[in-house]
Amino acid sequence: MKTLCFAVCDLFKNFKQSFVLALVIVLGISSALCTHLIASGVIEYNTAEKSEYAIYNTITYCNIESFDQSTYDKLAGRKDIVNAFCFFNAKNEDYVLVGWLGNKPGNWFPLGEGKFISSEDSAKTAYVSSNIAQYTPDKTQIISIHGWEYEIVGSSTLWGLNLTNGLDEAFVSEYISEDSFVFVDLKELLDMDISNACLRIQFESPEHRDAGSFRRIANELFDSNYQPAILPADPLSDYMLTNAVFFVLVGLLCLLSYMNIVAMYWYFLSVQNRRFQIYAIVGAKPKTLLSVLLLQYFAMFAVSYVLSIIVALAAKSLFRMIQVEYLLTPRNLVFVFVFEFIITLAISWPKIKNVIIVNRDKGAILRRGNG
Amino acid sequence: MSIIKLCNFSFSYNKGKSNEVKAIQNISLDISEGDFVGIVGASGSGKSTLLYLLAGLLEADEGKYIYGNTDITHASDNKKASLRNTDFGFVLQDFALLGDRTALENVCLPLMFSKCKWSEVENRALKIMEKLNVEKLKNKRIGELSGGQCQRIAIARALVHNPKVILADEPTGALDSENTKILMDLLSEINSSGITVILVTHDLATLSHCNRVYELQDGVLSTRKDVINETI
Amino acid sequence: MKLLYLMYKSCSRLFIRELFLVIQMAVVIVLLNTAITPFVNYYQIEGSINKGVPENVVYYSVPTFSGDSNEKINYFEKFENDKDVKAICLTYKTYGEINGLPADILLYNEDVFSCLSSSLQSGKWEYNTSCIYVNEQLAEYTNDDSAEVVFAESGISEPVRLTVSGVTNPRDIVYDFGAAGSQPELTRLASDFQYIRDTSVQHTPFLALIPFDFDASPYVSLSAQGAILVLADDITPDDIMDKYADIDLNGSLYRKSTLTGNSLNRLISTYKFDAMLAVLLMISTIFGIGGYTYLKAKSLQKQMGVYKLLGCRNNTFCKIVLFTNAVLVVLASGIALAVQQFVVLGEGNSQMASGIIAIAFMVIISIVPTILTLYSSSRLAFTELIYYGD
Repeated sequence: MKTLCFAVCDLFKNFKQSFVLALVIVLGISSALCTHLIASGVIEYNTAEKSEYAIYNTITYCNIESFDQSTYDKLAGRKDIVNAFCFFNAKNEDYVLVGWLGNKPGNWFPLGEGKFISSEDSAKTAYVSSNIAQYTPDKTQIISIHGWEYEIVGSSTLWGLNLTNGLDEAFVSEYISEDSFVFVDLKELLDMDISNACLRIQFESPEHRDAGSFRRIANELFDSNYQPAILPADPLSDYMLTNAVFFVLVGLLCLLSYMNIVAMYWYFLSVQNRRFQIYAIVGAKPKTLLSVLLLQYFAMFAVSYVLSIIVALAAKSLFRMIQVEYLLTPRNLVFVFVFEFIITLAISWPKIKNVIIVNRDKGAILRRGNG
Repeated sequence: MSIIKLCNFSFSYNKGKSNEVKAIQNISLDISEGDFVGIVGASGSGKSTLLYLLAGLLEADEGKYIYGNTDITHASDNKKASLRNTDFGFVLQDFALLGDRTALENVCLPLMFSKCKWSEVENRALKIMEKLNVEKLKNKRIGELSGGQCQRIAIARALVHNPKVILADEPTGALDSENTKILMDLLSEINSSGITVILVTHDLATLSHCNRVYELQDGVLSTRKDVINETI
Repeated sequence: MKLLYLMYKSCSRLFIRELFLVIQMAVVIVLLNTAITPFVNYYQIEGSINKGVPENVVYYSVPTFSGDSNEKINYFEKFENDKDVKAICLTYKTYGEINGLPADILLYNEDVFSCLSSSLQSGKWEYNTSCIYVNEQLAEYTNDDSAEVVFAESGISEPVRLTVSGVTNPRDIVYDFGAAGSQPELTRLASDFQYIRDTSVQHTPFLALIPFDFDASPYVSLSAQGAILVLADDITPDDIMDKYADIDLNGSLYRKSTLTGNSLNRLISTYKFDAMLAVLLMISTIFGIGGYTYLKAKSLQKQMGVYKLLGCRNNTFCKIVLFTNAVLVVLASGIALAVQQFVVLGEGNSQMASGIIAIAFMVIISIVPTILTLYSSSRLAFTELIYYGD
């Protein structure tokens, strides 16, 4: 308790002696921390935005040779599935047949003319690519699939990539050999002659993503016949790969601003040198001096960090003017603080040790005015 | 011939504020060329303040300061800086040397601000260091030197530009008795070559070299003839 | 010499830190330049267009998909017969060879010269079909002021020899009225060839502007994708927009203000991260490097006390500190300039922007904190100076 009071009083007197100096040090550290908060907040915001995309919430199964009732019941029974579709090159036909669970195409492809298929349709309906048929409202068009007639309720321009989005480009050539598509309700695929099909299941975008969640779901859903599942990519890794230059620039920015934190703190330490030597001479133990320095470090860092959070919050509306949004989540705030705190302490450790240790070489420092 | 003349000199710290301190009160002083003047007084009596006023580092509130035949009471900062660079040499208790430089670099410093040519700076500094027998320390950093060595380097720096007046503020304060004696003998030798020496000290033993002694008590100056009689 | 020595000594004590500062400043200059380059480019192009194109104009863009490409339509016919339209400024972008060198070529009709201001660095801005205007790079290869022009598109014209009459703007910001798309922008009314060339090795560094008789060449006149319609003196853009509001234009009309607004929106949405980078850099630089410079100057206070003791004048010490910082900034700028020759981040770098940033650095980051420190030091008593840090 005594050490804490001493540390706080010592810091206060030190800064009171030169208020401008204190302000410069605190603002310097604050501005760097604020920069880091905003930069990480931007990345977090964009990652969160991306994590709602379909491709980052979709599990894919390949080489499927059959589609039965139990599979269908598993899919239809889950409330967290947004869309599920199974596609394969229809035998003896020149189109890819897609069985779709869900009433909207979502982000997979744009809805063109007409409407999309729905499980609530009374009759058998189909949605086709424009190169099979162009939907017109005043004309009923029928397509025959495996002996059954399906009414075409809508059409759109489609490509293989629409279905294999998020997967390796090789998937297009492996699983899609035609450039025409027919969409029917997923139930229609039951007991159909299927070979080399791909099943993609889009889940609701999770609130808290963790590494094992999709693996867990994949294991829950199907047995080894459908393994191995291709899990969705991590949106952050994807974001980094596709925006490498941006990340390099932001990384450089953070590094540069971090150097200022170190520079400010090292300057603060250099100013403490003589005073701490005198404390040591009058009997303060190295352990006590270390406690004082660490407490002062924590206090200075904490004050700067609080200031940086306030500025980051206040600056949100300004950044909105240039269409930049960022998140200041508790996780982000804690992580940045702890990371910077520990790294700065680690880098400054030799200097801190130098301040608290008394040795004869310090005589010159003690001689007043010998700089 | 009078080299320094002060008439009714007064100076206060924090003038006009609630914590005003009258450091110097109505001092009159007449120092001739070649004098070895000692100014004694207890701690806080205003000795160092008087020395800084003489050097032009502080400006008096009242009074006149005549150096040679020129009234420099209200001279510009540049004029006073010039005087410090050409006519005054300083020796302070804490040496006022720059710790990150070598002894030679410290001695060269006054010449950096004078009209001395760049090519002559080091030679002149070495010459004065040889004269004071500190040439061997030329490449040593100040932090590696003892107190006595530092003080001799400080004196070398004070003499390198051939000043007319040496102002010494408690130069023996940080030295042992042996080094004190050496330093005082050195100052006497400098004085005997015609340079005026003004020594501020609280150590009466060092006053034996002075031909005039003043006492400063609570900012008021008086002559201490008795000290001279005792020591001589 | 003495000043140089004293400058060297004032920073040699913490030499590694000074080196660090120089590298930091150099990197910040490069990054800041990269971040603001798109905006600088935008304002240069926009400024140039705004200066050259009068206010009383509307922009007409032909439809993006004009049906069967074999069927050529004269989209501008309706305006040729309109009394409210004083002039129709047309351009056509093509390519070919000028004196054997591959070059971008822009054809301008007569109205471009009579209604729009010059986009030349030198030479006479006049419509003369026996003349050609070249850029600086191409000018080096037209020593006798004559150019042999061979068009890659044979439908335009046979090879022709023209007289060089002038040189384009230094950055080759020249009029170029292509199709506008659904969100036309003011900057689309110009081509900024230098900016493009800086980042693409395939592009030719040569550019030529040729006054061309569009009426005599259906190939060209029917291929033009857009036009600036200069309105009659008593007609405003609102009048012409209202006039054609209910008429099927087969194309679109846009006010100049619409183009400016669209430009700005696209600029911000495309380069928002550059803007963010620039803002964050400025925050961390002003407080970080500025603060460090202030601390550096503060730590020289003891030195200032000793120098003062030895007769150094105030302005001498000021010179030492300011010149030292100035040298560091110049060094950092030099390194940044050298790095920018090899590293092109983003879409090209602007030398002018680098220069402006370096000067701003000098003033805001180095000089201001130093002046503030020196001013506050000059007010300190001598004893406070010499015992600073105790």
